[in-house]
Amino acid sequence: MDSAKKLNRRQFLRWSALAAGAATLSSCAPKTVEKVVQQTVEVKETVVQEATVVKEATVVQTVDWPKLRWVYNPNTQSQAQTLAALNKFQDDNKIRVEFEPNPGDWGSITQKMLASFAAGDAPDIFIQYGPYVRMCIDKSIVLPYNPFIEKESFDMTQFVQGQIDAGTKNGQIYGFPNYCGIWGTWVNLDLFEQAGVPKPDNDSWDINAYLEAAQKVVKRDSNGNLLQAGTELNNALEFGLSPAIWSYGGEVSDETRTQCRMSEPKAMEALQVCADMVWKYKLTPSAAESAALATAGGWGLFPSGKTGMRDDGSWFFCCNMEAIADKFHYTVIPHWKGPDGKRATFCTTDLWMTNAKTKFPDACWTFLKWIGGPDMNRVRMTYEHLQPAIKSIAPEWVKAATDYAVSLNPKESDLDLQPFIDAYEYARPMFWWACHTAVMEILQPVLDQIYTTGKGTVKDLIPPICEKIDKITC
Amino acid sequence: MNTTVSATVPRASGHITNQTREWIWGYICILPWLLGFLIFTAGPMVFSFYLSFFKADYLTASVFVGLQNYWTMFFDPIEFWMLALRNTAVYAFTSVPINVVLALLIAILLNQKVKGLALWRTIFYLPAVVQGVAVSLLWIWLFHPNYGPISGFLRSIGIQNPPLWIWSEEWAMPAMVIMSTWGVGGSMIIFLAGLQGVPQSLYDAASIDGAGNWGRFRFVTLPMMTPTLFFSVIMGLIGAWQMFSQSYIMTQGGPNNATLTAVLLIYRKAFEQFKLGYASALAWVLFVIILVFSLLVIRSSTAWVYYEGELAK
Repeated sequence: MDSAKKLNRRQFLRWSALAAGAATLSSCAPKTVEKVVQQTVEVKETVVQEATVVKEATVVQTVDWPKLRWVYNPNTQSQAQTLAALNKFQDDNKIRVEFEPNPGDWGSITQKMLASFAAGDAPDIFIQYGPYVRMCIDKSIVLPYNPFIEKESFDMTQFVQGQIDAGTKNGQIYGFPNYCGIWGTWVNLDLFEQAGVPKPDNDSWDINAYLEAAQKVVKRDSNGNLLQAGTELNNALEFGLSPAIWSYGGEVSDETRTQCRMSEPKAMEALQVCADMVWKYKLTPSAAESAALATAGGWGLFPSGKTGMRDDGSWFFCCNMEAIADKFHYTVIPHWKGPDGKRATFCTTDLWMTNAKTKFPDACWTFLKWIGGPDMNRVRMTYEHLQPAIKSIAPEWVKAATDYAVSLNPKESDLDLQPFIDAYEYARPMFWWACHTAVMEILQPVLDQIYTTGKGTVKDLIPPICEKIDKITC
Repeated sequence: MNTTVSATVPRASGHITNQTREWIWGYICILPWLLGFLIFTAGPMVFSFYLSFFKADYLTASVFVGLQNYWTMFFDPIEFWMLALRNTAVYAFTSVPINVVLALLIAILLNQKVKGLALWRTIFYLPAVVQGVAVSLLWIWLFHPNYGPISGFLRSIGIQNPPLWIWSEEWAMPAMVIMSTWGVGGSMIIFLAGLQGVPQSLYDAASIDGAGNWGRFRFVTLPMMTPTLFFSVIMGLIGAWQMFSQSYIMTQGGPNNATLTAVLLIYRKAFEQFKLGYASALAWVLFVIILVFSLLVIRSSTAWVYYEGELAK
C-alpha cells in the first residue's frame, strides 16, 4: 500500500507542471482590491438595513467618490503628517486619494513618472522636476489650470511669481507650486572672523566683495593642496552659472530657451569669472578637491566647516543643520550683485502637475488647492524645512527654521534668513533649456573642460557650442 | 521497420505515444520559463526592432521614419554614438585581455601546493562577491588623487604628481580598466577548475620528454586551458561591451565624454531624452556589434582552442 502512494516520475512531472501552471495562472487573477470593492458593495445593502453601523456606512460611501492616484516623495516625517491630514481631506471633500510614494533622487523620480505615462499608467497628480516640466507641457500630457483659476477667480498671486512662470506656456498655467527653494550664499561666520572678514552687508554684497572675502579665507599648503576653501562654487549651469550670468547682465538663452546667448560679452565675462575662481584664484575647490574634503551626501564642504562660503539654496537647510549643529556659526547672504549692481537668483521649479487624461479634473483641482495650500505648505516647512511657495506664510518659515537652528546651536539666534524671502520678488525660474537633456549632452562636456579639467577656455569653447545649441530640436 | 518502432516505443493509452507524452510534459514543465522569455525578453526585443524605425516617445503619437534613426547615429555630427563606440571598444579590448591574463596567473598561483591554500583562494575570490554600485563608490575613493591609496602608493615610489584618474580626461578610461580587475576572482575560479582538470599524466609525460616549467605550461597547461580561455574571452567581451554602471555612477560619462559608453548613451537617449525609437536603433546596432565580435572569436576558435579527445589538426 505504501508503494502505491509514492509518485512515479511521470506523476511527479505532471503534478509539478500543474502546480507551475496554476501559479502562473494565479498571477493573472484579478487584483485583491477589486474583490474588496465588490465586498464593500455587498455590505452596502446590509448597512442600509442597519443604519446604526456608521463606520461601515462611511466605507461604503467612498465607492462613489472620485478616486485619484497621487505620486509624491516626501520624507518619512512629512509623509506621516501628510497622510494623517489626507484622511480629513478625503472625508471633507468626498474624494478618495491613493498615495503612491516615489522614492529615489529627483532625476529617477521624474524619469519613472514619464515612463508611467509611456506605459499608460500615469497617476492623476504628481510632482514634476524642472527640465521635465517643460517636456510635459510640450507633449500636452498635462492639464492647464486656467479654466479652474478663472472659474473661481483663484488668487495665483499668493504664490512666488517665478514658480508660476516656470509652469506657464503661452499664458496657460500647467504647474501648481509646491515649495519654493531660493538660491543664495551660506556663510561660515567663524572662518570669516578668523580671516578678518567682517560679516557681509547684504545691500553692498557684490562680486568684488565676494572674491575678496574668498581670497582672505582660502588656505592651501606649500604644495598647493587645499586646506580650506574660500568659497564653494557650483559650476552646474542651472545652479551656479545661470545666476552668475544674470547678475552680470547677461542671458543664458532667449525667451524660448532654444537660442543660446552665452556667447554674448556679459555672459562670457560671468562664465570667465567663475572659471577664474577655480583655476586662476583657486578660491573654490576643483572637482577632485571637492570629492576629497566633502562630507557624505553630496552637500560639499560647508557642513564639515572647510569652506568660508557655499552657494546653495534654502533647501540646504533641510538636510545639513543637524550635521553642522554647533560646530560653527553660520548665516545666509543673498547672491552677489554683478559689476553693474544687478542682483539675480533663481527659485526652484518643482511643480504639481495633473494628468491630462484624468477622469476627475475637478477633484484634481480641489486636491491641488489643498496640497499646494497653506496647511500643507506648513507641513513641508515644519517637517522638511522647505521654504513655502506662498508668500504670506514665509515669516512662519523664517521663525520655524530659526527656532530649529537655535535648538541646535544657540548662537544662531541671529540667523538671517531674510535674503531668501526678499528674493521672492526678483527670483527667476531655475534655468532649463527647452530641450534640456539634449542640449546638456553637448554643453556639459564643454563645461567639464572649462571647470573640471581646466583644459579649455570660455573664449574658445562657448561661442562654437552656442552655435550647435541653436540647431538642436527636441 | 514499423514493428521495431512499436517494440521500442510502446504505445500508451489512447493515441499518444509515450514519446509524444514526454515531449508535451517537457514543454509544459518549461512553460513558465518559456513564457517569461517570450514575454519579457524575446517580445520586447522584436518590438524594439520595430520601434527602431519610428520617432517614438510614447507620450505622443509615434511617427515612422524608416532608417533615419540609423542614419542619424552614424552621420549626424552632433551625436556621440561613434565616440561612445570608440570608448567602449577601448574598454573592451583592454580590460578583457588584462582580466583574462590576470585571472589565469592568479589561478596558476592558487593551483600550487602552498600553505593556507583555501584561505588564499577565498581572499582572491572575495572582491568578486561585491559588485555594482558599492564597488563604484569604493573605487571613487581608491582613485582619489590626494587621499586615495593608489595615488598614495604612486607618491611613495616617487611619482609626485599622480594622475587625477576619473577627474582627468586622459586617465578616466584607464581608471575604468583598472577598476575592472576587481571582478577577476570570478574568472579565476573558472580557470582554477580548468587547471584542476588537466591530467597529471600529461605533465609527467612532458617531464619525461625533458620539458621544464615553461615547457609544461606552454605545451600542456595552455592547450588544455584553451576551452576555458575561449569561454572567458567570449563572456568578457559581451560583458565589456555592455559596460554601464561604472560610468553612470562614477563619472556620468565625463569628463568631456571620456567615459561615455554605448549603453550609457542608450540609457540617456531612452530615459532622459525619451527618444525610444532612436535608443532602440542604438541598442540593435550594439547587439550586432557584440554578435559580430562573438562570432569572430567563435570562428577563430578552430585555430586555437583544443578540446580533449579531439584529433590534432
